Amino acid sequence: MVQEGDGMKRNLIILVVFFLVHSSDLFAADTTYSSDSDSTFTPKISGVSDYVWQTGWNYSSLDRMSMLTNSGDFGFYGPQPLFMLDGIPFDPAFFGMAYSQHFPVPYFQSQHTELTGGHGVRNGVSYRAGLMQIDLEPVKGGISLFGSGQYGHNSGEPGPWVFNPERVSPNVERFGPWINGGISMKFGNWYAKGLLKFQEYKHVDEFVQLRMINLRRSPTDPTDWLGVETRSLLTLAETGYSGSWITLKLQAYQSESEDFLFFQPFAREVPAEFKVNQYSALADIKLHSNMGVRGLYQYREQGLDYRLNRFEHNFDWRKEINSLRGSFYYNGERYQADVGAEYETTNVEAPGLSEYEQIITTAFLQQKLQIIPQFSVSATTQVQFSDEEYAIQVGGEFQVRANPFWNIRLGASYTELLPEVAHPLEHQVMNGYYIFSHLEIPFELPGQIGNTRKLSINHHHQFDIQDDVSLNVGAEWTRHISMNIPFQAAIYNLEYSTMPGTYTLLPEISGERLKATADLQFVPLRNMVHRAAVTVNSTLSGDTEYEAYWKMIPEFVVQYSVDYTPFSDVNLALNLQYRSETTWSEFSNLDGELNRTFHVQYPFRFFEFSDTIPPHFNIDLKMGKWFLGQRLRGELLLKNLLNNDYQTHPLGIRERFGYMARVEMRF
Amino acid sequence: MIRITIITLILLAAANQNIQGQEAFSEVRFTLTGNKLMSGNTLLRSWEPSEGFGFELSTPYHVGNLEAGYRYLRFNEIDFENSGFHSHYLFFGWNYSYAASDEVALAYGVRFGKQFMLHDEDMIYGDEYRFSREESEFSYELQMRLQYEITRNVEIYIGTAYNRTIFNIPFAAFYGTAGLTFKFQSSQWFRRVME
Repeated sequence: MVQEGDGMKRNLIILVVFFLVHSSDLFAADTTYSSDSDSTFTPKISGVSDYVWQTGWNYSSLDRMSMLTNSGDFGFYGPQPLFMLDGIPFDPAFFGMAYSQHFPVPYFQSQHTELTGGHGVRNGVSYRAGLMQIDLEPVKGGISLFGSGQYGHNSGEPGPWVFNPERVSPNVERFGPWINGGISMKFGNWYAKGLLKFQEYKHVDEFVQLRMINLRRSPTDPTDWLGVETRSLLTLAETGYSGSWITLKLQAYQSESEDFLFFQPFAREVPAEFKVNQYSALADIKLHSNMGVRGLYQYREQGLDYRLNRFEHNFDWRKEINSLRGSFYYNGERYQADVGAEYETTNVEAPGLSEYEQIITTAFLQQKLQIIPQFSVSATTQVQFSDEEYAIQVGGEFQVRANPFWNIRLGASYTELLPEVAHPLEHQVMNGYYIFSHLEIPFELPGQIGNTRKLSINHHHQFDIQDDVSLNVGAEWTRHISMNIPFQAAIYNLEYSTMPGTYTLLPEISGERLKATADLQFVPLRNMVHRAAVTVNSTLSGDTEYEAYWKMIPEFVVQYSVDYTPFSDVNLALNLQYRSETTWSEFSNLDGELNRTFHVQYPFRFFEFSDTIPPHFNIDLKMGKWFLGQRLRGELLLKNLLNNDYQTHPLGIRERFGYMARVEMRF
Repeated sequence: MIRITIITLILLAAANQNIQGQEAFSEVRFTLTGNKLMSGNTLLRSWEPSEGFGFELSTPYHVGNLEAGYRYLRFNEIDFENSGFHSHYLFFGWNYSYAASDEVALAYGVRFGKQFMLHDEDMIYGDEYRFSREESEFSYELQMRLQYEITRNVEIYIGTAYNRTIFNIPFAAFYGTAGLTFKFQSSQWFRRVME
C-alpha cells in the first residue's frame, strides 16, 4: 500500500485512525503453541528440529543445523518468525535461513519454547510473521558453572569394509563436537552470566557433499582440497538487575562461523564466514503495581564474508541495525494494554549498494478487555512507516468461556508487510547489490515490489475434559491477497549437482489456505505426559504458482510424544511423527536425474534426485539420567529408529538412523 | 529372525512376572566375562574372530539393574592384508533379573554402545585417500543370561547376546558368554555419584 503526498500529514492521520479503530477493539491475531520442560531434569531441545516440534509448524533443513520454518503465515520462503530469548530479540537468519549455531543459547538450556503465528506484541516487541520465544532456566542464586559436550553421527560407517575396494563406502556425517560452557552468578537482585558455545559439523552426505565437493578445490592450489566442516563459536555476556519495581538487562553476544549458506536464489550453497554482533539494553520500570514502561535498545551487526572456495564467491555483505523500542503497559484485572513504538534503522554495505539505509517506524497497541468473566475481547494493531510507504497489521479475538470445561476463541487478522521487510534481499538487489550477477544467476525481478497482504480468520476450542485430559481443536482460513513468491528454477548438472536457473520473484500471487489442528494431551500419571496432534494443511484455491508453492508444506502431519520420568533421576521421551508427501516445484528439472558419488576410491554409485519428498514416519527416542545429585547428566538420543531414508528438503541430507550422546555438568 | 526371537522371548518373560521394586544402588557387581562369537554374518566372511573377554559393572536400580561394560575381541584377517583389527565394545544398559529360586535367576536386557575398531594399519587408496585405522559405529545388544549364586558374594553365569553394529553393511553376531560376578555392598560415595 503506497501513498503519495505529504508524508507527515498522512502519517498523523493514520495514527489517529489507528487509535480510533482500536477504541472499538476489533481484533487479535495469533495462535500459540508452547512446550515446557517439566523441570531441569528433562531438557526438550536436542537439535534444531526440536525447536519446531509444535502443532501446526513445519521445518525443512538441508543439514540439521540450519532451518527454514513455516508458521503457516507465509511459507518457507516468506518472512521468517521473530526469534526472542528471554524477552530480547535476536536474528540467527541469513537471507531467510536460520542457523541454530547463532542461537545465543545451548539447545538443552531452552527450558520453554513458545511458537506463535501471525502478528502481535510480546514484551513490548512487535512481530509480524510469527514468533519463536525461548526462555532459559532462571539464574540460580550464588555462583554456578556448567559445561556440556555433545557428539553423534549417522549410522552407516564403513567399518572394516574400508579394506575391501569393492564394498568400501564413505565415512558418515558427524554432529559435533558441540561444546558449551558457562558461568552465572546471582546475589540478591543482581545477576551476571557468560556463555561459550562451540559447534562443529561435517558435511558428508552425498546429496549435500557433491554440491560442496566441487567448491573444495583451492583457487590458488588445484591440488589442495578444502574442508567441508562447519565451525562456529558464540560468546555471550549478560548482566542485569531484577527487582520488584525495576528490571534491567545488558546483553552482548558475538558469533562467528565458517559455514555454507544455502542461498535459495542460487539453488546451492556458497561458502561464507558468518558474523553476528549484538548489543542489547533492556529496562522495565513499574510505575505502579499494575503498570509500567519498557525500553529496549539494540545494535545488531550481521555479516557474510569470504570463505576460501574454488569460484571465489563472496557475499561481502554487512548489515547494521539500530533499534529503539519503548512502550507503556497496563495489566489491570479486567483490562490489559501495551502501547508503544519502535524506531529501526537498517544500513547495508555490499558491492553495488550506495548508502542503503532503511528507516522503519512502528507504532503498536495491544489490548485485552474482560467484559464479563465468561467473555473477553483482545485486539492488536500495528502500523509500520518507511519513507512514503506504510503497512498495517490489525487483529482481534473474542474469548468465550462457555462452561468450565469449554473455551472458545474466535479471531481474525489482517497483515500487511512492506517489501523491504518481506523481501529484503530482492529490495537490496533492486537497489544495486550485484550478488546475482556475481554468482551468475539469471534473474527477473518486478519493477516494483508490492506489499505482501493476507487476511485470516480462525477459531479454536479448548476442552478440559478431565483434570488429566485436554483437547484443543482449531481451524484457520487464510486468504493471501498478495504474495511475492521467490522461485528459482534450478537446473540439473551432473558435475555440480545443481546450477541456478532463472530466479524470479513471482509478483502478486493470491490464493486461500485452510489449516486445521487437533491437539490432545493426556497426563495419566504425575510423571507421564502423552500428547498427540494432527495438522491438516490444504490449499483451497489460488494461482498455479500459489498452489505449487504451498506443496512444499506437508498436507498432513501427525505427531505423538510421550515423556516419562519414572524416577527423579531418569527421563525417557519418545517422539513419533508422520509427514505426508511434499513437492518442491523449484527442483522439477532435477526430478529423476542422477546424483553420483565423487571419490574415486568408492565404488561408483548413483542416487536419484526427486522434487518430491515421499511421506515418511519417524521415531526418536531419548534417554537421560542424572548423577551426582543432579550435577551430572548423561543423555542418549536415538534418531530415526526405523532407519527410514527420508529428507526434509529435496537437496538436503538423508536422515538415517543416528545417535547423539551428551554429557552435561553443572555446579 | 534372531532379533525377533530374542525380543519376543524378552517380552514374554517380562509379561509373565511382576516387576519388583528394590533399593537402588544398594550394591555393586563386578563381572569378568569370557565370550565367543558363535555365529554372525557379513564380516565373518573376511575376518575371523578369536575368543574375547570383558568386564561389567552393574548396580540395582529401582526396577532392574543399570550396567556399563567393555568387551574385547580380536578379528584376524582372512582376505585383506593387514586388515585385522581389535574390537572394543563400550556399552551401557539395563537388565532385569527374574529370581527363579534363591540361587537361580534369569536376567535379560538391552545395551547401547559403540564398537571401536583399531586396525593393524591405515587403509590408503592410491597415494591420497587415507582411511584412519580407527573406525567406530553405534551398536546395540540384546542379552539374556542364567545366573547361579555360589555364595552370597559370588555368582556364575552363562548367557547369550545378540549384537548388531550398524555399519553401512550391518554386522550382526550371536555371542555366547560365561563369567563370574563378585558382589559388594555399595559405599556412600558410590550412591552419591549414582543418585
